[in-house]
Amino acid sequence: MLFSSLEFIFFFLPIVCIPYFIVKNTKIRNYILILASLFFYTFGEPKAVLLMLVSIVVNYGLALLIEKRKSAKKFFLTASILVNIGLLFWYKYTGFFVSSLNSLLGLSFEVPVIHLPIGISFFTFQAMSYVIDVYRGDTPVQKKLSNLMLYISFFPQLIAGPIIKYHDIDEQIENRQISLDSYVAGSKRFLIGLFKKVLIANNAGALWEAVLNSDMSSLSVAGAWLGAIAFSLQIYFDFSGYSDMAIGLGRIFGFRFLENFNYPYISRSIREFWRRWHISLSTWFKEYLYIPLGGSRKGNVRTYFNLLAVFLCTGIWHGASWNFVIWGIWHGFFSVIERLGLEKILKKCRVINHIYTLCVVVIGFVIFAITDFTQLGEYMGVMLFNSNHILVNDSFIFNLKENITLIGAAALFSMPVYKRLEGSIESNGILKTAEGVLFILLFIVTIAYLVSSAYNPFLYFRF
Amino acid sequence: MNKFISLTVTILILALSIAFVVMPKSDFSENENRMLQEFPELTFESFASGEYMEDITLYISDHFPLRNGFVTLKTLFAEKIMGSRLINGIYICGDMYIEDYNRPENTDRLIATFNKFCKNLEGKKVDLMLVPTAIEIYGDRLPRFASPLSQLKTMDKIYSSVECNNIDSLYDALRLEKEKGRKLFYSLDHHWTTEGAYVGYTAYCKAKGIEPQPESAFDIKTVTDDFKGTVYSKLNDITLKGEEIKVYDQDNDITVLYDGVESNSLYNYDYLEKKDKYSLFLNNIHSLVEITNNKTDSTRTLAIAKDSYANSMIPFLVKHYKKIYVFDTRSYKGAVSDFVKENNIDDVLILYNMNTIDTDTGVNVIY
Repeated sequence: MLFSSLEFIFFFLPIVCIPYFIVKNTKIRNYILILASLFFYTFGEPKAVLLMLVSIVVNYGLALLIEKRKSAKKFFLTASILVNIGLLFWYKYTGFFVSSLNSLLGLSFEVPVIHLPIGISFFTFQAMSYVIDVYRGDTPVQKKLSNLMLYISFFPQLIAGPIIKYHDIDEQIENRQISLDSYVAGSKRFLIGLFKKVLIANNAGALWEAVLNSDMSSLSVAGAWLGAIAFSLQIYFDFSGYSDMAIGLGRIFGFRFLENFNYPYISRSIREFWRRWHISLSTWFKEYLYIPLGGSRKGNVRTYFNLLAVFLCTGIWHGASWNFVIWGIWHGFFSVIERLGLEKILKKCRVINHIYTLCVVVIGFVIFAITDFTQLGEYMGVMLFNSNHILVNDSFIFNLKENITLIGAAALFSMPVYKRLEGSIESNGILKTAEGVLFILLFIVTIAYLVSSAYNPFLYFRF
Repeated sequence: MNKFISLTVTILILALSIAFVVMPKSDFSENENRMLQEFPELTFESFASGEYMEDITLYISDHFPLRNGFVTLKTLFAEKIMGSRLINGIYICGDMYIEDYNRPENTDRLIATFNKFCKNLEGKKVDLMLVPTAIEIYGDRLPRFASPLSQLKTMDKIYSSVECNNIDSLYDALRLEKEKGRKLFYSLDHHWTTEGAYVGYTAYCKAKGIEPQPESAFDIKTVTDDFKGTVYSKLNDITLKGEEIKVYDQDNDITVLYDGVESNSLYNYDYLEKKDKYSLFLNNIHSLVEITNNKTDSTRTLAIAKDSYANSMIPFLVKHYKKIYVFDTRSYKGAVSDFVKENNIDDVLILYNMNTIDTDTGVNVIY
C-alpha cells in the first residue's frame, strides 16, 4: 500500500487516525500504531510479516543480553549484525551473488529465485541502529518489546524510509507532543509530498519511460539527455516526496523525524550532494560504518579507502545488481578526487561547479536506472556523442514541449524557492488565501490523477 | 491558513470515503467497456498470495465516487494547465483526436500466420487488406513536431513478406479521398467512418476486377449525431460533443445468420441507444455471420477473416456475392482455412486495421 494510493488516503488513514485521536493515552495510542503498522505491512507482504516479527524479537533479545552480560556484549552485537546482514543478504543478494559467481568462474549453479520482502533494507538497518546504540551505551536498552516493535515497524518509515536512528527517536516513543498544531503541520507536509510524488514524479517517470522505450536508433543526443534529466527528477521527487509524506505522517502522530533531503540538486560538489541526498542513509553509514572504520583520522590512504568502502556499500544497498555497484563507485570516485583537491578548485568556479555536479549526478542516475549493460552502453553512447546520433530531432522538441510546464515546475521545486517564500506568504493575507486555495485544488487534481491511473478503457468486449 | 488547508482536506477525505461506502456500486463501466472489479472473497490462498489485497485496491479505484468526473478533470488539467497534446495515447489535434500508434511487437508472428493460412489454402489467392488508421492518413493534422512511429513501415514489411494478393492501393485511395476533405475516420472512435469503409470497398473491387457501385446507388442516412466512441472514452472529456454515424442503405433481399440467429438486416439499430454505437454495423461481434443474398445473379461466395473495421465495409459487398461468411477470429473456435476448404469458398479476404492488428488475439488462430 503506497501512501499515494486511494486505499491509503481514504481508508487506512481515517481508520487509524480516528481512534488515535479519540484515545488520549500514549500507551494505547502506541498499540493502535503497532496494529496499524502490522496491518499495513501484511497488506503488502502477507508472508514476510512473520519474518519482520521474528527479526524484531531476536534483536530485542540480543540487545537485552548485551545489557545484561556486559562481558560478552561484543559477541551478542556480532550475533545481531550477522542476523540482520544475513537476512538482508539472503533475501536481497543470494540470486545476484550466485549468478555473479556463475559468470565470474564459469560455473552453473542454479540461481535461486527469492522474493524480496518490501522494506527489508530499511527495517534491518533500523534494527542494527538500535542494537549498536545499546552496545555503545548511547541509549538505554528498551525493556518493552512493544516499544521496539513500534520503532522498527512504524508504517510511515517502514517501506521507504527515512531510516530513523534509534537514538534520535527513543525518547519520543513514550513521551511526545500531540496537538492540533502538529496535525496541521503534519498534514500539510504530507500533502506536499503527495503532490511531489503524484504530480511531478509520476509524470517525469512517464517521460523517462517514453524515451527509454523509444527506438534507440532514432534517439537524439538532446532526447537522451532529456530522458536522463526526467529520470533524475523522477527519482528525486519520488523519493523526497515519499520522505515528506513519511515525515508528515510521523508529525501527525506526534513524532519528529529528521529531514531526509535538503535540495540536493543545488549542490556545488558531489560531497555536498551526499550531505543533501538521502541524509538518513548517508548518516547511517557514517555513524555505523565510516567512523568505526577509522573515518578520516587514520591517514589519507585509509580515508580514501573508507570513503570508497562506504560508497560501495551505499551503491549495493540500493539493489542487487552490478549497475548499483558501479553507481556507488562512480560517486565514490568523484568524492575522492574532490578531497584530493578538486573541491578547492570548484569553490572558485561559481557556475561551473553546479554544472559539474549535475552532470555527474545525472549521468550517475542513468547508470542507476538501466540494469541491462548493453542497453546502458547504448544509452550512454548517445548521451556522450559516442555514436552518430543526430543532436536534436522532432521527437525531442515534441517531448520537451509536452513536458515544459512539468520540467519548469520540477526545476523550481528542486530549489528552495517555496521554502524562502513561506515566511512572506504567512505575513500576507492575499498570498495566504491563494496558497490555501491552491493546496485544495492541487489535492483534488491529485485525486483525479490517482483515480485516472486505474481508468483503462477497453477496445474490445470482454471475453 | 495551514489550519484551513488541513481541515478542508480532512473533510474532503472523510466525505469521499463515506460516499464510497454509501453509494451504490455498478458492475459494468459502459465508458470503458469492461466489467468493474467485484468485492473479492477472502480465502486463505488469495490472502497469502496477496491477490486479495490487489483486488481490494482495484475495487476501490473502480468504484471511487465521482470517478468519471475525476477522469475528466485529469484530462482537462493535463491539456489546459500542463499543455499536453498527447493524453492517454490520444493526440489532441484541434477539433480532431487521433489515436497514437504503438510500437509493433508481433510483426514476424503475423507474417508467419498469414503465410501458414495461405499455405493451408494452396492454389487459392487470398486477398489481404491492411487498413492504415487516422494517424497515417491525417498525419498532417498532428501537433507540430509529433513524430509517431510509421504504420506504413510495418504494413510494407507485412505486404512484402506474405504470399497474398495485397490490396495495397488502399493507402493511396484513402489519401486521395482525404485530400478532397472527406472525413474517413471518426474523431472520437478508433474505427473508420462509413465513407472510409466505402473507400475500402472500392479498393477491394479494383483488386478483384469488380465494378463498384457508385455512392449514388445508396440511400445515405445519418442515424445519430451523438456517437462517442473509444477515443472519447480514453479522454473522458465530458465537454466534447458526439459525432455522426452514417449508414449507406440499399434495398436488399437478404438473410443474415448471426451465430445461427436469423435476421434480414445488416444493422442493429438498438445499439443507437447504447454508448457503443459503432456496434450497429453487423450487429456487433459474432464468431460467424452468414449473409445470403436472395436476389442476385452471382453464384460466388466470400469468406472474411477480420476485425471490427470490416463490419462497416461488408454491407457494400453484399450485392456482389451469393453468400458471405464473416469470421470474427477472436471468438470463432475453428480454423477459417478449414472452413474455406470444406465449403469450397471462391474468394477469401483478410481485413485488419493497422492500429490493433499487432495485439489482436484473433489473428494468430485464423489458419
